[in-house]
Amino acid sequence: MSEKRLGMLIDLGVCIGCNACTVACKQENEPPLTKFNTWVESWDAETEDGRVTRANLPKLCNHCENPACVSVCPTGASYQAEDGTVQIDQDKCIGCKYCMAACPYGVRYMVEESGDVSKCTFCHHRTTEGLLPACVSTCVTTSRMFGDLNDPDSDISKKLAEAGDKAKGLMEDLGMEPRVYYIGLDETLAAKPVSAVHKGGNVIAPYEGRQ
Amino acid sequence: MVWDGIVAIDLFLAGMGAWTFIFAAFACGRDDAARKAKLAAVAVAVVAVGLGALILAVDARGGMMHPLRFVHLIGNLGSVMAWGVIFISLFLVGAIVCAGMMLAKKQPPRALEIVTAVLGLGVSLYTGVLLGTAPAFPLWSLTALPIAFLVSAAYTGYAAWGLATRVAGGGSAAPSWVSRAALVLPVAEAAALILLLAVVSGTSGSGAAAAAASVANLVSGSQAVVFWGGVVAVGLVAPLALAVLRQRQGDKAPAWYGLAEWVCILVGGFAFRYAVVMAAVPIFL
Repeated sequence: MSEKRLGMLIDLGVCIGCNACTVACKQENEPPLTKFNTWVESWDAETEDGRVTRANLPKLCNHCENPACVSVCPTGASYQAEDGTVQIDQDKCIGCKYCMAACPYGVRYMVEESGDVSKCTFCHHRTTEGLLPACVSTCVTTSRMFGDLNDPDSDISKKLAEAGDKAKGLMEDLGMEPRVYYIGLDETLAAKPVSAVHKGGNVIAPYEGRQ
Repeated sequence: MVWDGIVAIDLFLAGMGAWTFIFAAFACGRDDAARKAKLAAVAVAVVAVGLGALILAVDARGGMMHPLRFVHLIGNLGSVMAWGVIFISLFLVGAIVCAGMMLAKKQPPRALEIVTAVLGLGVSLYTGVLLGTAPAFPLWSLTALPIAFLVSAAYTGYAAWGLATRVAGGGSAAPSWVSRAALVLPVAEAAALILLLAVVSGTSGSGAAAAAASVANLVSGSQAVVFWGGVVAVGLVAPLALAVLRQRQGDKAPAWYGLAEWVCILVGGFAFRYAVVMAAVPIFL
C-alpha cells in the first residue's frame, strides 16, 4: 500500500463554470484539438422552489482506487503509480481502446497522431515537483482542492472530514472507488435539467434526450 | 463511439472461425473420404480467426504505428484481451498444424484436435467476455452477453462448416447431432437474446439510463432494422424454417435449402455483433 494517495475535492457550491480550469489544463498539457483532460458540463436546472439556476459539474479522470481501465489493459500501459494516481505508459500503449470502453467516466481519448490513448494525469509532471495541478492552481473560486488523502493533516483531508457524507464521488455504485470527490453532487444531479448539457459551448446531451 | 463495426467484424470472425474448427473436429469423419471436406472447414477456421486477429491489430493504431509495442500484448494477465491473444495464438497454431497434417494426407492426432477445439471454445467465449468487462456500456452485460455470443458463435460455426464441406464436395455423412444442432442452436440463441434484453433492461443505478437507451436502440431505435431484420428474421427465423423444411423433406429437399440456411445464419451472426456494438450507449455523456 502506497503511503501517499493523491486526490481532488471539488466544491460544486463554489464552482461558477467559468472553464478557467479547462483552459489552464489545455495550456499546461496540450491535449489535441477537441480533446480535454478536464472540462465542465453545464446545464440549466430547475430548483424545488421553481427557480432556474446554472448547474456546473467539472469532470476529469477520477484516478480510481479500483480502476477498470487498469485491469483491462492488456499491455500494462495503464497502471497505478506509487502516489495512487492512474497513469499511462505511452511506450506500451497499442491503442486498442479497451480502457476507453471500460472507463465509465469517459475521460480517455485517442490521440490520432500517435495512436495512443491519453487522459488527465493529475499533472503528474507538476505534482512530482511540489506544484498543484494546473486546474487547481488556476481555479478562480478555489472550488478545486488537491492533496494527499492519506495525510490527515492535508487541507483536502481536513475538508473531506468536515464535509463527511456530503463529499461523494461520481457513480460510486459502479465500484471504481473514484478519488475525485464532490461537495454538493447530490443536489446538482437531483436538480431537474431544463436545457441541453453543454461542454465547452457544445451540446453533448440534447434536452430532448440521448440517442 | 469507442468501438465500432470494425470490432464487430473481429468478434464475428473469431467466434465463427473457432466453432467452424469445432464442428470440423467432431462432425467430420476421420476417414480418408472426409479429409478434403474437413481440410476445407479447418482452412476456413484458420483464415477467419487469423483475419479477425489481423483486423484487431490493425485497429490498434498505437501498435500499428509502433509495432514493437505489441511485445507487451500479454503484459497484464488480468486482462481479458491478453487471454484472448493467448487463446487465439494457440488456437491458430493447433489449427494450422491440423491443416498441415491433412494436406500431407495424414489424420491429425485426436488429442490435438480436442485441445485445439477447447482453445476454440476459449476464443469464442473471449469475444463476449471482452465486451462484458467494459462497464461503461451496460448493454454489454457480463451476465448474458458471453452466453449469447457463445451460442451465436456455435451457430455461425455450424453454418460455415456446412458451407465449407459442401463446397469441398461433402465427404462422409454428418452425425445425427448436427441435424439437431440446426434446430436447437437458433432456439437457444433466441433464448439468450431474450435473456440479454431482460438482464440489461433490469440494470439499476448509474447504468440504468444508458442501459434503457441501448435496449431502445436495439428494439426500436437506430439498430432496430439490423436487430429485427438481420438478427431475428434473417439470422434465426429463416434458417430455422429452412432447417425444419430440409429435415422434413429429407433427400427430396432442394440443395439450395442448406446453402440459404447457412448464408442466413452467417448474415445474422454478423448482424448480431454489429447491432450489439453499435447500439451500446455509454454511461458517460
